[in-house]
Amino acid sequence: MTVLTKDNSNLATADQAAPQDLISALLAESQELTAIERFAKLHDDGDVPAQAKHYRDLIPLTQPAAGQQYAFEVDLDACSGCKACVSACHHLNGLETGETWRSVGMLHGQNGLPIIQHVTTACHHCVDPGCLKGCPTNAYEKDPVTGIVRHLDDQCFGCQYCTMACPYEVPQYSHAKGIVRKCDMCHGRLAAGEAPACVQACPNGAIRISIVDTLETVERTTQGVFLPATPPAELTNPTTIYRGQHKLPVDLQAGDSDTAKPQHAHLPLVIMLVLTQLSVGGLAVGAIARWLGAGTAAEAAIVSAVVIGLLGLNAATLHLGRPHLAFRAILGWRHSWLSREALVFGVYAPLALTVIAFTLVPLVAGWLPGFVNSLLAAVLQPALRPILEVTAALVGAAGVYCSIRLYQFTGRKFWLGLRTLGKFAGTAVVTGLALLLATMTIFKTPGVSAVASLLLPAMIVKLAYELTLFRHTRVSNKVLWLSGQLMQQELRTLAIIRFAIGAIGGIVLPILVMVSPSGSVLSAMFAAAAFVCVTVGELFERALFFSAVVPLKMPGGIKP
Amino acid sequence: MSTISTPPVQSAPKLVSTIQNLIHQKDGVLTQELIRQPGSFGLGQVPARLKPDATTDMVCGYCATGCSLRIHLKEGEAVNLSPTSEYPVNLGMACPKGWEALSVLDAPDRATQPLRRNALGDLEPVTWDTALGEFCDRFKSIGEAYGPESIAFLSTGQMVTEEMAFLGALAKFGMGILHGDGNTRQCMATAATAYKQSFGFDAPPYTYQDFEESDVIFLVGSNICIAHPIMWERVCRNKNSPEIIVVDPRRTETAMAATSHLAIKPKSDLSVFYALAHILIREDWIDRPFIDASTSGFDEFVAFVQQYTPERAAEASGVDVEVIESVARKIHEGKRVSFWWTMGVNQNYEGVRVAQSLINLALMTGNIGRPGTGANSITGQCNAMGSRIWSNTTGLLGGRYFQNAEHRHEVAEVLEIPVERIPTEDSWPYHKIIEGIRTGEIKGLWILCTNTAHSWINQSDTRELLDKLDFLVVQDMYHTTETAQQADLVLPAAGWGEKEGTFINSERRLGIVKRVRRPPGEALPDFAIFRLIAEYWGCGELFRQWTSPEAAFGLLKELSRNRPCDITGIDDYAALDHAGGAQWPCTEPVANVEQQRRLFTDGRFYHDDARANFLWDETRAMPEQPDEEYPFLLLTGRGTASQWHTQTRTGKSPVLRKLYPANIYVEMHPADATLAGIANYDEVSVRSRRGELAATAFVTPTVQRGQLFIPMHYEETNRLTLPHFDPHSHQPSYKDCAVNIQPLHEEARR
Repeated sequence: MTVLTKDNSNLATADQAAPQDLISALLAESQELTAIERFAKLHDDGDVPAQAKHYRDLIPLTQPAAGQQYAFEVDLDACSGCKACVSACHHLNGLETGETWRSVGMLHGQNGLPIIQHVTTACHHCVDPGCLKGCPTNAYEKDPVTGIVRHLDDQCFGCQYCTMACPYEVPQYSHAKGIVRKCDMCHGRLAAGEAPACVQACPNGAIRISIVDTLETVERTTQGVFLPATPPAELTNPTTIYRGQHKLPVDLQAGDSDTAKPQHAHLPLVIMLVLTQLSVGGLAVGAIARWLGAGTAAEAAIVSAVVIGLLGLNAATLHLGRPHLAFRAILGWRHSWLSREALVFGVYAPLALTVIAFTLVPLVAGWLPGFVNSLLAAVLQPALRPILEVTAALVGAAGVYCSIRLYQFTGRKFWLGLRTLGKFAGTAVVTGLALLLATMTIFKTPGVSAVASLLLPAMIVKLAYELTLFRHTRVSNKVLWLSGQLMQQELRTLAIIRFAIGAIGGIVLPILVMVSPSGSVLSAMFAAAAFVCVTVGELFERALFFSAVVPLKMPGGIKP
Repeated sequence: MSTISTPPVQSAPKLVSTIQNLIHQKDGVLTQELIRQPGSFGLGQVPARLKPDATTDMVCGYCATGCSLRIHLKEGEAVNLSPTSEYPVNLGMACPKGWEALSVLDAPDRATQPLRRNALGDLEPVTWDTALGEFCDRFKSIGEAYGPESIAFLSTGQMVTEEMAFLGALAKFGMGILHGDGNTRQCMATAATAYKQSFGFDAPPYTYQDFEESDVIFLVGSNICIAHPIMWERVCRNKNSPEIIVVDPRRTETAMAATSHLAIKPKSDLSVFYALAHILIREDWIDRPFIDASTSGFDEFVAFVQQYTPERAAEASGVDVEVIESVARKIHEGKRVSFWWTMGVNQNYEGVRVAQSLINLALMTGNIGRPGTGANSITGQCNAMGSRIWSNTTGLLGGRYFQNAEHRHEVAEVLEIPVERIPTEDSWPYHKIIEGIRTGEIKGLWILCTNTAHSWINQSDTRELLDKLDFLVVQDMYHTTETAQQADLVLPAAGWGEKEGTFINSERRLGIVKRVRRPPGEALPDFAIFRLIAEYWGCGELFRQWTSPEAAFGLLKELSRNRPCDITGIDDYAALDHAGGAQWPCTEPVANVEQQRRLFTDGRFYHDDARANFLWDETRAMPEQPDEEYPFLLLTGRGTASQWHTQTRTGKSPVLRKLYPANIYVEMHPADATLAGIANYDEVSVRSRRGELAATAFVTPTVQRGQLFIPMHYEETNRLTLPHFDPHSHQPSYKDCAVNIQPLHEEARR
């Protein structure tokens, strides 16, 4: 307490000290927090929430019975777009700076009269949640009684796959914490008879908690009944009910339907995917070449492929928010393609190492003690070698298949079907061939032209396929058109490099290899450059794969 | 424990639990971060780490709704908030701005020390002593060279009343400044003027309960779903299934929710409302006893509106005659009809007459002074109402007049100052002060708590003029506002929550603001800054009574005595706080007065004859009609509920930033877009005769053909607007200027 607040008139007297003293006195006074002492007020210490009178009718009186669960129910007529629900959720749940678990988007269009319809949305606590199915660590649980989909924050290792597997952009990744978090329907509040934050905060009572029948929800959402301009509801069977007096025309557009922003490129994943695919492709192509008598060159290709593949697998852990928990990646093998990918590549790695042991052991035999050599000789039976090569290649291919399924699972159009399959398998083929081309040219092995003439069409087909993206128009396929737009605008540099360097590595340089004198240093340089360019080109392709994708999402607002 | 369904395994051997945890960890540091616990104080569950040890209620500092926020305190400092469940205004709700009110105080660009522009042209930190010395020296030397009329101030509707009054008193009675106005000129001047002329005092007659009690709600130029979501809450609570008639050129959220939407052509309001009066008179759907007892000028008004036929209104507005007729019938059939307006009326070159055309409708149908009725202006800023009565700018303290000798004596007596120190003429309004810079009549300007370089109409011109000043002082929470960037001296001010005082909301309710956060660095409450200036200027003697905001409140109480805005019943801040706010007039002890009171229940108004006036004028055309070169009419207005004015504050909240469009956009009708070769989300350039901006096109049928809409919150918007003003209120007309629009990259996105 300064003199000032005790008796202000002291300072007010004319003979008081110089104005400079008033500055310090006022600065000191301004630092005093006076609300409590000046406005001491008896708040009941009671634990009955004062807000209860406003939300009493918006939450169920009972828990769901068997075959039922809790669900958000939104009265679209009452949602006027104020977005109080978003900020209330933020504050009443103590989220980190800028973190939001709810969002409000907008639909617009015409139904005789113009329509503008705001849409509040959070986790839909799906019957068949994509996040839960996709999670490799079993960090999601669907509560058996309430149906609330909960995230176990301490179990999460921050792979962020759920942010792709959820069609509604619900899980939010925190860089600071290295995990995702999401709406838990304020389950603790519900358990205590209180309303979730958003329900408490809507000025118009537009959000309530209802009890829904699970089978009925599945039936309804499988028929696609949910809300216009939303992802296919059959993917996850979202439980949220959107209702309103007015039937919304199905051709309503989301506020952000004509725009897309580049997504995160996920560099460690880019490296991991391309290098594992290179590894499998190189191993397979190398093994075939070895059987055909390519000798050292083939073995060099296999060894390089395996070593590069191992580097790639390690790169994947850099993607994790909490890499020390990487071992949890396999826990979700029963439902998660990510777990399966980790598991299968986990098998691939020792198999591939055994394969290259056939090449490497003889090179180091001189330095090894005798008993080790005898042991190795007993294990590394020459008859086993092709069997191991085939097994490793098949397991590797299975790993690549898991990678493919992992992205197809998200339902994102840019990643569906051939658009992931073609790219991932194509990468294995072109990088494998480019690797073999390099080693065969360097080791002056006959058959270089044959390899080049395989690489050339493979690369042409792959690039041509990738270019087909640009045939889509706003009308024919808006989502793919948007991906194409991203590549032509915000991601233009990336796209130009991808196609240029891919064409140089997979088309120009192989031709130069073919036309330059066989066995020359020049041809070796061309071939080595071809391998580097093809690989780098594929890395750029994969960066575009991630950054030009348009995620599935709920309708957004105006996003200039 | 609220987020853990199974207790941590304690009894199991440690190794087993460790392994279990590695494989399936259900609890831990991260889980604990989101734990919710009963918060006590009637809060329900709150985040455990933000559990308060006390709470206190205070009024929000954004808009004039005047919601109460319950501040969660830890050791006296605000850590969180939630809306006050029992407050008669917001009933436990708040809009996102209110929820985020505390987070914008932590912004890194808070002004934390005085800044002075140095020889290199950069703002550099100086001590308060230096800054205040500079403030006085430079203004005094300008005053000596050019006369005291050459210094002016521009203030705000965002400061507490006590600070506004102190500023007005200090500037005019202490420093001898003649001209001062506030940003309320941009928002509420029209309503204030309309009320003064019609009722004899600037007195919005309603209480929010009226939203719930009307059976016909007539909303003009008011997208309250977005601009005043908590008032819309009250409309939604109306149990009478009211007719909601919305008059707005755009199909807004509010128009969507209406039972009738009159999508009139911009600036045809007056024709339509005169036509409604015409029909009501023609059908004899009027309250003759009330008109006779309580109004004057009706017969002349009847004669005037004869020419304003429904056909003429239909022609002007594009709305069918039948629709206009049916609206008149609804007004007639309604038992409790309320008329509400906001910026669509106020920011209009004939706004005062439009507001009065609504007042006329209320008067002639007797829809005033009863529950659910009224001609009701929905105010903009949290303390626009405080500013209108107490800012001592274009009117003398307490809704008095500078020209009135008796008024000057009353003020001099209460404030214990020589009456000669009170000017005998009004201040110039905002636009004349700005224009005065051009003519060289204004040389020094002190801008407080507003962002002229962003918000004033015809922005490029305004910025040039601000640069022309000999001395520009900006007093603000943030040193990064567009205006502060142009200042010669920046004084760092404390914000809402860091100081004390009262606000007056839209329904005349006084609410209290408290100190629950420490101002950053050396930022000081504006009140403290004024005290310092008084001392440094050498007029401290005059303000010995102004020792604290609460002491100033005591002065305001005395100044309000026997005025319409009498608040002598409010003992002190504590009494006001305990009562949960109070509407003026409040002459009884505040604890005893009703929470929902409306004015004119006795049919007596504030003119000397106690009658309300019918007032009107011929309609006038827009000064800048769309033409061949500039074929579109540009409308501006509120964008979202998460944005406030020039985004000085709302732009500082990461949550709010997620809730509104990050960059400027222009809404355009699909048919116009097709003709112009513009697709949704194309980059476009919008030009007026005064300026140009680049924006993203948002193609939507919610705007009419021939019109464009750009939210006012973006810095670029006012480059385009046309400086023209209502002749009575001097409020700028922001919503009508001619522009053209073109794709920025012809071949892009085809």
